[in-house]
Amino acid sequence: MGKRAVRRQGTDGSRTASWAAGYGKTAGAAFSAGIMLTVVDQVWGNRTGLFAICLLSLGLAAALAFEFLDLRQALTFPRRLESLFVAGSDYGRRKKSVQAALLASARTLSVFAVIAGTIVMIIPWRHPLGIIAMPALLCLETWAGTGLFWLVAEKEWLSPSRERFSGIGRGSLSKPPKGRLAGSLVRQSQALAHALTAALPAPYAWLARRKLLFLLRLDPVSLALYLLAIVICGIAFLGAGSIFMAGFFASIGCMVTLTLAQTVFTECDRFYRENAFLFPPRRFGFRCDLAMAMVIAAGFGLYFFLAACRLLGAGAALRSQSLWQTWITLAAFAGLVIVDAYASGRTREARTALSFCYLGIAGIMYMFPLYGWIAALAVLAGVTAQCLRTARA
Amino acid sequence: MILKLSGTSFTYAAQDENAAPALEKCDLEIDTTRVTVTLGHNGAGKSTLIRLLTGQLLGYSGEYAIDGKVQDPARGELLALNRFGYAPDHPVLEPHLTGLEMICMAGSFRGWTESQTLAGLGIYREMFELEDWLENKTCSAYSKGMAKKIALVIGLIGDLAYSFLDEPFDGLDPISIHNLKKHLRARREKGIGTFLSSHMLDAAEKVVDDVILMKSGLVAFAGSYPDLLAGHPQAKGGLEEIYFNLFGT
Repeated sequence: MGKRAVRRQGTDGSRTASWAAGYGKTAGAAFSAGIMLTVVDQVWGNRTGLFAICLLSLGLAAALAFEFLDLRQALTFPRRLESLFVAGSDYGRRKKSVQAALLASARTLSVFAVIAGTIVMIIPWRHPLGIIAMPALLCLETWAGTGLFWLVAEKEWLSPSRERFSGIGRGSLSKPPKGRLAGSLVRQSQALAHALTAALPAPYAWLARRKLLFLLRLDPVSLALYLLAIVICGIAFLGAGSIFMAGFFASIGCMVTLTLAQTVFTECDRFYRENAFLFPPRRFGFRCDLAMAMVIAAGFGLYFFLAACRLLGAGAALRSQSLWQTWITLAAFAGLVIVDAYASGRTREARTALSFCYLGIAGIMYMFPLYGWIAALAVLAGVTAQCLRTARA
Repeated sequence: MILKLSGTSFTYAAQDENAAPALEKCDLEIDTTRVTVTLGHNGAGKSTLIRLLTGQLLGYSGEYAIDGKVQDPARGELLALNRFGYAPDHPVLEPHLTGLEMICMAGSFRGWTESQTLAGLGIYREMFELEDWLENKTCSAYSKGMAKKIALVIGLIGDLAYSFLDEPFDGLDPISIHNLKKHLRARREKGIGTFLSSHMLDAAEKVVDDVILMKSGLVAFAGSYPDLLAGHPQAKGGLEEIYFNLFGT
C-alpha cells in the first residue's frame, strides 16, 4: 500500500471515529434528556408525555435558531471584497458552507429528537403508533426549520453587513463586548472576583480568581442564563413536594454543573499546564480546583438540606438516610470529577460520559439504602485517598 | 549563586534516534550577579539553554547544579525555589486577564501582596510607559509591544535573585529599549544579574558582562566580554564585528 493510500485510509478512519464520537455524544445527551423529561412529565405534566414533547419541541426550535444566528455572520459579511484575495471565501461558497452546516446540524438534532422523543413516549403511550408518531413529528419540525433557514441562505434574503466577520467566540452565546462595555465588564468582573476570593490565602486567591475572571469575561450572558435556569429548576423541583425530586435535581444539577465547569475551564487548565513557569506547582492548582468543586457540591448539598427540612422537618431530615447519602455522593462526585481531570489522560468527552456513569450508579444505589450507604462511603474513601495523593504530588 | 552545566545535552524528539540535539555537551558556569548574554543564529540553542536553566526541560543528559547542588530534572519547580524570573521570547499572557492582573498574579505567586506588587510596579510603569491599557484592556487586545512589556515586567518584578530574559529587546520601542538597558545595569550594581539572549548586538553590548556564543547546539565561546575582546584584537567594531568574524559567511 502506498504512502498516499495509507494517509487517506488514516484520514477516513479518523473522520469515521470523530463522526461516531459526535453521534455517540448526541445519543448520550438525548438519553439523559429523555429520562429527565420523563420524570418532569410525570410530576408536572398530565402523564401522557405531551408536556415533555412540547418542551423538546421548544428546545429543538431554540437550538435551530441559535445555530442559524451563529452561522448568519458568514452570510451577512460583505460579499465581494475578500473574495478577490482569499480562495473559497466568495459568497457562493460561504452560502454552500452555511447550508452544509445547517444540514449537518439537522441530522444531529434529528438523532437527538428520535432518541429523546422515543424515551419520553415509552412509559405513557404503550401503543407503537404513539411511540413512532411523536418522534416523527419532532423530526419533521427539525427539517422544516432547517428548510426555512436553508431557503433564507439560498434566496440571499439577509442583507450584507459592514461588520467585520469574526470566527472568535462562535461557541458562545454572546459576542465579546467592545469599547466602553468591555471596560465596564473588566472593572465589574474584577471587583466581583476580588470580593469572592479576597479571603483566600496566596497562591489560592489568584488561582481561583483567574478562573472566575475567565468565566465572567468569556460569556457573561450564557453564565447568567445558566444560573437563572438552575435557580428556576431548583424552585420548580422543590415545588414538586417530593424529597425524591429534590434529590434528583441536586444530583443532576451538581454533576451537570461540575462537568460543564470542567469543559468551560479546559482552556484555562491547558494554559496552566503549558506555561507552568508562570504558576505554582500543579498540586496547588489541584487543591484549588478541588476546593472550587466542593463549593459547587456544597451549594447543591445545601439546597437538598433546605428541601429536606421543608418537606420532612429539620430533625427528620438530619436522621434520614437520603440526606447523608446525597451529601456523601455529592462530595464524591466533586472529588471524582477533579481527580479524573488531573490524574487520567482521558479526553473531555470520555470524562463527560464517565461523569454520567457515576450519576447513574449513584441513582441506582439510592434504591438499596444500606448498600447505597456502603457504596457511597467506599467511593468517598477511595476518592479522598486519591485526592490526598494528588494534592501532595 | 553559580549555575553550572556539565556535559549537558538535550534533544527535543529524544525517541527519534536521528534527531539532532538542540543542546550538545554544554559546559558552562553562570554567575547570577552578572549580566550574561547568549548570542547565536536562529536555532543555535539559545532559547533551549534558557528553558533548560529555568527548569522547563526534563529528560536532559549531563548535570545541572545550582551552587553545587545537583538539580533533579523531574521536579520542575526551579523558578520558585530559587527566586528566578523568566520572560519568554513569545509573551505568554492569559487572554482574559488585564496586564495589571497578570502582574499581580505573578507577584502573588512569588509571595508578594498586592500592595507590594503595585509598589514594585511603579518603576516599570515609568520605564515602559505603561498607560491606562494596563488596567482597562485584557491581554487579548494587546499589541506585540504591549504584550512584550507585560512579559518583561513579570520576568523582572518581585524579590528575585536572577532573571532570564529571552529576546527582551524584540518588539520594544527605542525608549523602552534604552530604559531596559539602564535598568539591567542598575540591577547589576545591586548584585542582581540577568541572563539574556538577543539578536540585537548593539543593545546587548551595552549591558554585557559575560558572553556565551552558540552554534548548532554547541557552545563556541563562554567567558567574560573583555576576554572575548582580547581574543579578537583585530575587531574594532566590538561585538558585532566579532560575531560576523565568527559566524558570518
